[in-house]
Amino acid sequence: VAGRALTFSDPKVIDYLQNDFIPVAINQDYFVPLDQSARNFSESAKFMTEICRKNGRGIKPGETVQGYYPISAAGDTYGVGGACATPGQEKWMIGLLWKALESFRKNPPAKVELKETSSPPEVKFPEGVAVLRVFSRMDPLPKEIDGKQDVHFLGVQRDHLWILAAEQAEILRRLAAKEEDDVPARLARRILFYHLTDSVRGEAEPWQPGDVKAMSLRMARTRDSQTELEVKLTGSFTLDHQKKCGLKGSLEGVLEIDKTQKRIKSAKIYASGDAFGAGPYTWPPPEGSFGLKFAMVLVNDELSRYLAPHIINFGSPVGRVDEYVRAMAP
Amino acid sequence: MISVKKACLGTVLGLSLAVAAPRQATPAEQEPPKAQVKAATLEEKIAGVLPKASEEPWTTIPWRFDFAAARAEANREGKPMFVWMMNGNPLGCT
Repeated sequence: VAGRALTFSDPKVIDYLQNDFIPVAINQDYFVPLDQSARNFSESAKFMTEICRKNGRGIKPGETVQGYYPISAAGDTYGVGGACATPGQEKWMIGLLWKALESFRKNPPAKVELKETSSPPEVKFPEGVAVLRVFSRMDPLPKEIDGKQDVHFLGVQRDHLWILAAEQAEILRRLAAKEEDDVPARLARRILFYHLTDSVRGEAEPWQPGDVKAMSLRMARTRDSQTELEVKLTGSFTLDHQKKCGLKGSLEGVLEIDKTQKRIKSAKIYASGDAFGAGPYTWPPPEGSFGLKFAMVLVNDELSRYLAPHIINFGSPVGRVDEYVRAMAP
Repeated sequence: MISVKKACLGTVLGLSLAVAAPRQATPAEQEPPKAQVKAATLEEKIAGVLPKASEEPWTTIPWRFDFAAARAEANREGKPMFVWMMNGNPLGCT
């Protein structure tokens, strides 16, 4: 998160990537997963695995290959860099890109025959799923944070939340019968476990059922017509993972559902809370408690139809859609 | 929306009272009651979380996310590729 905020903010880096390179962002867990037995299932995955091997990366089991790779479509490699957010990395990046471009122009690779010309989404999207883009940030920033030095704390985290077609229909059905009710259980758990996580400084692990000390997520009918239902969401939650990290806060939101199509046509959800601690990949946390804020809004762009919720491919090239949908329900 | 309606209603009532009762307000009346302090709307709260363009210059880079299509494009256009590979697609998470 911090890497993209810092490394790709330099105007020269942006200029190179806008004009001289074809920039592409991919998921290590899908293309070169840590589980080596799961590799090489597509031409593209084989290609990227070979690129990593040429750079001496991803050879040992469990070795991460996260980073930056200037390459040619033919498989030439022009250096590599680990993705981190050290101040000054943007200068190093300019050097990497300049050298790569020089090498490419000096010795242009021959064009290659490619069997794959399109990579499908990593998982099959459920029919009728509504996709909400989730943003989160630390706010207010803890007093001890120096904005210029501690870039890890300044980023905005992104993810996608899925609301299934059956859940959209279930909300309609339940609120036809009564004015308010609990949010469908799997949806409530999905929001809580996978999306109200502290991922600003890195990759947060999902909350576990045992971490939930209190949880309420309610929905109420606020406007109803023949064609549309407006639903107000309210909620509160207290999460604590073995006293190592936690989050206590509240949630509010509004959904507008097309009753004919049984599909969400607008969704705005906001949550905020006081957090503490960190997970294995979000170290270090600020001292004491700190504020986290979340916004979730309905999107229907190309990216939302391509990138599944992060947790689905977390640590595995095999998309665990069912696991995400079930949200650790018994 | 509710807050806006309340604010409008408050304005209308305030004007009506000013016409009907042209007396000096006491100091206590001059201070806005706490209940009138406008709470942020849902939209405002959400806007406070969403990234502003100025804080995310990296989004001006035309990142592709279909790897094979990007490779084919680089091959066709005679350009090098720049691959950003993270534990999770960097456009969608970390």
